[in-house]
Amino acid sequence: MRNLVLVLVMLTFVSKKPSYAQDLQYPSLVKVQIHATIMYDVDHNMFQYDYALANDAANTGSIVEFEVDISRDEQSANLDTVGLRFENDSFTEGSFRRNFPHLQARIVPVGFLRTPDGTWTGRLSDDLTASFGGTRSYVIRPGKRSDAFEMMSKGLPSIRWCIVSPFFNFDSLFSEQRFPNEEDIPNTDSIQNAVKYRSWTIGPMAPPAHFDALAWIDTLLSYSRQSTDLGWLGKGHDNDCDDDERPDDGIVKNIELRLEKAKRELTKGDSVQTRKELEKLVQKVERIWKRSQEEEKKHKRDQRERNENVIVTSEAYALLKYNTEYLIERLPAKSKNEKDDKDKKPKK
Amino acid sequence: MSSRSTFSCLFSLFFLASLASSQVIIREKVEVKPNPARSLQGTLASELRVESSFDGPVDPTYAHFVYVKGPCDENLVGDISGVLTAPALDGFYTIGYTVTSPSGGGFRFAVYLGDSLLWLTEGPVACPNGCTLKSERIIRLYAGFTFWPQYALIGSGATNYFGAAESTATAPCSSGSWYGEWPIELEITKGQDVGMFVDGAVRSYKVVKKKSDFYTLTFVADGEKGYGDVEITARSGGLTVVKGFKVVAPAPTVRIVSPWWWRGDPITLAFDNLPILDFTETHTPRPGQKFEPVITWDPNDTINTADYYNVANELYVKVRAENAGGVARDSVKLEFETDCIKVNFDPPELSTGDTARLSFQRVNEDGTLQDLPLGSYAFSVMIVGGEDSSKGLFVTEEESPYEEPKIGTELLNETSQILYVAPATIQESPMKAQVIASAWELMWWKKGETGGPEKAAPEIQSIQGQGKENAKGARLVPAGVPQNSRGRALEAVMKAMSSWCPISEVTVKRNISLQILVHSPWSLWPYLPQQRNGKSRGADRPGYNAKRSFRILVLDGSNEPAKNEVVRISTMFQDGSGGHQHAFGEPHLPEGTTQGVLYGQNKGGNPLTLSTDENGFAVVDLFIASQISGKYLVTASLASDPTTKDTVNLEVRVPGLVDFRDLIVLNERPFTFAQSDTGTGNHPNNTWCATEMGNRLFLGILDFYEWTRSPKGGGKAVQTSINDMSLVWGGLFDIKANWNIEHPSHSLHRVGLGVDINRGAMNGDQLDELTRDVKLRHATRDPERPMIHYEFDGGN
Repeated sequence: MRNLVLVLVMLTFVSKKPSYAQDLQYPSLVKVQIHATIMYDVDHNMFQYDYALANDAANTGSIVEFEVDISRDEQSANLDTVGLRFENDSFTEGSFRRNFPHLQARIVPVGFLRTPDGTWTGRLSDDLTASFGGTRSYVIRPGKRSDAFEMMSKGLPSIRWCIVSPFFNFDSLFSEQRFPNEEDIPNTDSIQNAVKYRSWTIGPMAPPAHFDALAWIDTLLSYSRQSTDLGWLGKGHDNDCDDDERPDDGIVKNIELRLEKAKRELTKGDSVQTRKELEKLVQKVERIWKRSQEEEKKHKRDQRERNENVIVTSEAYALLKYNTEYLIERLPAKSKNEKDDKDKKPKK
Repeated sequence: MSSRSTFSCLFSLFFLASLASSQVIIREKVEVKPNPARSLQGTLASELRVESSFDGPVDPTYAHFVYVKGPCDENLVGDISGVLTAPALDGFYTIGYTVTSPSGGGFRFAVYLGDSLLWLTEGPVACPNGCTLKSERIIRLYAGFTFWPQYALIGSGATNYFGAAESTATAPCSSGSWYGEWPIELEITKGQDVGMFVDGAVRSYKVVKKKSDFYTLTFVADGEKGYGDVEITARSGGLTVVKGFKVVAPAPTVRIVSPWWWRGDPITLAFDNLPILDFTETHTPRPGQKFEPVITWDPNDTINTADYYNVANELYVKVRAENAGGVARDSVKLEFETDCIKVNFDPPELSTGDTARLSFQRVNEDGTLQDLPLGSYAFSVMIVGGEDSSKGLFVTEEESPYEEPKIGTELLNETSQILYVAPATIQESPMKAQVIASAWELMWWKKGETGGPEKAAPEIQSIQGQGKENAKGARLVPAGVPQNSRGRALEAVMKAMSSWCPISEVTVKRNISLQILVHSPWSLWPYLPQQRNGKSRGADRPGYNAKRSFRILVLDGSNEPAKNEVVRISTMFQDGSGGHQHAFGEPHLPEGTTQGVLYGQNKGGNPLTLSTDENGFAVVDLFIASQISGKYLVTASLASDPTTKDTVNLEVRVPGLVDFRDLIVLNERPFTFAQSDTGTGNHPNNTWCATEMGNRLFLGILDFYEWTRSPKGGGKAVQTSINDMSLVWGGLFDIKANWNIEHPSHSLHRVGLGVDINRGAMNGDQLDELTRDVKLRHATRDPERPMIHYEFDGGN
């Protein structure tokens, strides 16, 4: 519900303000392609989030900042910073250390591994985002792209809002010649908000401090549906069915059916069977991801570019795979029935 | 032979013949007959004529002739019967004739000056034995005549005496046309109303007299007018001589006669000793006499000293006597003294119906005060303009219970303690009652020798040394010194007291109380209106409240609600508070709505006047604080008596601001402070901020500092130059120190969430980075120029 409200708010911004911004010829970002790729380092229990941004040639603004939501609520786990690494620029780590203390209760800690060349740096913001930002000399101009946005975190991949901001030259836009009286200058906060590009991507999320497996399955179901809505998961024919699945039901429905089965088993207390169901789901996601990559190669498409024939994107893959594995790891080793049986055995 | 030599020869023969023959004296008639028409007023004579005739036989052995010898060698000889004429000259003429006859005959010999006969000898001469007729006379002719009044100037009524004389010509051989025996006619041709001629018992305006008769003639100035110019015209022998003199009126004299009781000493005045002085005068000419002068007084012959009480310290009473003879003056100097008696009231301020004790001091000329203790003096007191007791009353505090206290708006010569009783009700509060007083020294003496020392009835003597009174307070006014009209005295006192002799005052306040309810110090945010572009100046901050209402309760002396009392509510900014030093600007915040606006009873303003309702409340429905932070004094007072008031301290401030300078202490500062000298003088503390902004700004500029030190930032550390944030209590930050809220020099900077940073030599990338650094800390940039203005937390 909270996310829905957020979406509506942002849609309101996006739908109403661009025309206003264009009228005044402010730099704006109407279309930006954001592609996230997540890798997991099992040894260090660390995820690496790599982002690629493409500034559409039709935009009038150059990208100067990219922010990913890394906020967390009070009920989420407080993840530590052990193992986080930072870009070796004699600045980024220090900035993290200076700013993390007053943010640690409200964000998922991230380490900034890489940023585009020039003045770009990765920073924590009081808006509870991981911010990649540069200056006017190193902006990503319309038609250009950069994939040098990398960060690491122990936070699980989750759907996060992100904001891409254009470079905003105050001195030229609000020159004294144009606005002799400062009080007549338009509300720059609103303008800057209007010209930003807002979207969704994958970012680190802290799991609940008190894990509830059933609720987590609901989270997986939500990820599946949201991935479909966001175009990260295809609705088409399922060519990677398990035995108990039907291809015509399609990928999304089969994934949801698998999760529902797992949920029923978990409800019954059968963690063994639940694990089996979830492992099937992981295997299915792997198969889909593998076929999806083959298809991209086959059609020579850049998988970072969205298309209507998508099977699964790196975003949906990360969401379903790593979060399902996180659940599997936290399922009881034995089912409730087994446990009960064991308890019933007479003592020798 | 010339005529002259001939005359000499003949004259010699005549002389010898006359010695030889007997002489007969014939009747000789000598007359002076001036022609009436010509001798007094006619034309002047120009010749002397001798007519001679003899009709008898003459002895031929003798010469017969007439002769005239003039003053200028005129020698004329003529026949005995014939006419001789000679020019009339000023001088002596020798005229004669001689004729010798054997028997006599008719003879006529006449000398004329003009038409006037001077000498005539005629008649028949009978001398059967023969005789010689012979005669010679010297006739003196004059150029004219003159006359004189004895005095050129005489007093009115006086007598002027006259004289007359011939006048001779100053040049020889001048014309001689007047003969000394001729009469002279005198006529008063001007000034007949002054007087007239008196000749013996005859009075007239015209007389005819020979010069030898002038001694009997006088002029007496007793005419109707009696003074003025008198002109007298004299005529004789065709000559006219005019003489004049002036008759003057008698000069007046005048002398002031002072009241008998006044010996010229200074007159000491007191409100109860304002005598009327009557002056008289004596003068000459005395009453009833001719020329009695007109007497005028300046200012008046009656001097009411009340008119001068404390108005003047001296006065000249002048009298002027004037008649035709001149002006006479006299004057008297009156010296007035006033003893200023200061009345002290204990207490000096009273509530209605309360009582104050009076004490008295003399105000010496050097301004020092001298106590006038009770027992040594008696005092008179009077309430100015309060005869109807609307301004209070005096009452004596009698020592004996058997004595009735004296009460009144005026008490005279009281030796008891005097109390002032404020009126129970007053029209306006505060009411000031003005009191004047006089003091009278008590002179004690012993009453008889027997019975031991005994305190006798005192004799009261004014400390001015003027009148005396008896012990009972009945003023003994010296006879002939009329008392003044009290009303006039008061008028004079009220006009004069304030400027000269300080009038004593006691303040009476209505027994009413006014209280601002909720009296603990107030604290409000400064009013933060939006910018014209709709941008907030901080009114959306949590806890923002620039408004409040309050009530004022007014109670009367009985603690009952005072209805319809007009209450004035206003605010007054304390200079220098709120961080507004304004050393180079306008130090005083203008009064009025700039200091906040008060609303109530459907009106608004500052000050605001409200009327109390039936419960005694005046309700300020809404008070909107000023945009300018600082200390204010909210005052509610009675419009009728501003001293009845209540105040409450108001602090208009943004709470919780901290000085950024105190917030961060580092060995290595990533920032500096830079503010112009003028800015420092006007607003010495310009770096106050909300705590959250301080922390975030610090982190932001620290990141910027580190970034500039890093390779990505160029490797050269840049210290941020920090300028204005907010004033110590926030609110309007008028960097021009002019209190301008309509066009503020800083529109924002009001709640400690905005900061100006000097650009210095920052390049574009550094500016972008700094903007990002503070943006990451919840700040946005607002295009304030030429500074870089950042706003934290959406603030300003």
